[in-house]
Amino acid sequence: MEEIFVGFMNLGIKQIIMFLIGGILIYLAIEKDYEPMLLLPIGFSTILVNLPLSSVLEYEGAPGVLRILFDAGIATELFPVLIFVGVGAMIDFTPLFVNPSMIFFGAAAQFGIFATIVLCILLGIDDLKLAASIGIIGAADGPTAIFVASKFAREYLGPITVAAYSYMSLVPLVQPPVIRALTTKKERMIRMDYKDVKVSRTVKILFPIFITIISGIMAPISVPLVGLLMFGNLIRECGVLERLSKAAQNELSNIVTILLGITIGSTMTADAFLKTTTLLILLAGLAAFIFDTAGGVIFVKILNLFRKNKINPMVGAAGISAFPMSSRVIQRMATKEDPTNFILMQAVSANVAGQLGSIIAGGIILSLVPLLVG
Amino acid sequence: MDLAGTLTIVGMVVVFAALIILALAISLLGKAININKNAIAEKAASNAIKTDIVNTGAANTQSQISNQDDKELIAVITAAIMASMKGSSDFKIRVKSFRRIPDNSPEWNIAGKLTTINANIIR
Repeated sequence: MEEIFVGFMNLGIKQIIMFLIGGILIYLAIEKDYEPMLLLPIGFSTILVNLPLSSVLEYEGAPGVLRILFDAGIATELFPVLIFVGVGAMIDFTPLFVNPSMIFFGAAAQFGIFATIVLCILLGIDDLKLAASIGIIGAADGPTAIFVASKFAREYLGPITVAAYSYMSLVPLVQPPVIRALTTKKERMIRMDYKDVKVSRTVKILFPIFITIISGIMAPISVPLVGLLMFGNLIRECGVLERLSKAAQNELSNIVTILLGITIGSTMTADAFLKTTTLLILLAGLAAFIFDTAGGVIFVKILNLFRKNKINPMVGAAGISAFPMSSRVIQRMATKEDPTNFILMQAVSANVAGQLGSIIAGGIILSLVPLLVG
Repeated sequence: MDLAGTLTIVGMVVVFAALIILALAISLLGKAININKNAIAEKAASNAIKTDIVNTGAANTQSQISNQDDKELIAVITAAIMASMKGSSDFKIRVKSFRRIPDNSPEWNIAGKLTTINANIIR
């Protein structure tokens, strides 16, 4: 008789809270359109793994389907790396070639990653690896956050991924108040010249190869990250692999996204999720995005002290990796101040630089943290 | 705390250094390729001058584009062709002349087309 009610007997308040959290994630994905591709599978998987005696994780001593997927796809870093091939095939680096100087803003806006690491240590997280995994939320780049967290803090992969993707969706709400607090109306109205430069196909083809070699030499551990991103980009730009490029952008990305979402959700068990650290991760993630925005804006303001042709400081905030949300937000803010001011192209260049910057920052964290921890 | 500070300083310096190297690499790559292209373009230009001299007679028969309106129209046509090629920088085209085709459509068809165009503009 007991066996019939075994499910009820193993159902606790913690599991019910996790069902609610899963439900909230599904609600946010469907109703609010917050990164539905990731949040919906994660939300559903949260419910799956918190069912009593969840057989998707383990069944009669043998690993369940989600545990098998986790071991094969996340523990080996296969899924995030495959996602990078798709992302590479989707990124068009042309805006970066048109405005190479915008690349600096892509670096400045990575400040949030490092500032958040310091913040986490100040808040009492002793483990630098965990602090770095939380800080990487500031990369505003889901796959990079997953990649770093799966290496350094596997048990917190769920909350870190949820925070990274949620705040990426919330960029239109997070960035404007920070930018307004740090800039004057006059600064937000600065106009910038735009020169349309034609970029040759040879440059577009050589670029991913160059980047792979340079980053491979500077940070060897970042090769799976940068190398496969650039492989995707080379497929896109070479012009002779259109079918493969489309497959990477659509079929590969879609299949891996399904598996990635549901597998990451499998780490959201009540015991692992309902901790104070989770709350800290969610708050620190928000701080990371605020620091990113502030870093980019302040960097431009410092540059403007020495420049004759002033740069609109809002462009600095577009140096985060959330593409194209961030550049759109910046243009909307510029239009609000002056309907005839167009800084979209400069913001897009900074935004693309941010995509590159975040991956490089991820690679550097992967190289440096083990060296520092020893 | 010391470790986090070191990570922040070294991390930001390395991120900047890596991206500065990339910016330089992009600029150099662009310049190197432009130098090559300019050399090729110069050769092509000198060949074009030769053929122009040969074809002067034929060129006179083509309609001459002189006034400002036509130049604007040529710019628009060029832009439309480029847009239909999805802005690919691999094709270099130059519209030299154009000829109006008389519109023999019935009046009602023309009125219908105008309504559609105006509706789109308003939207």
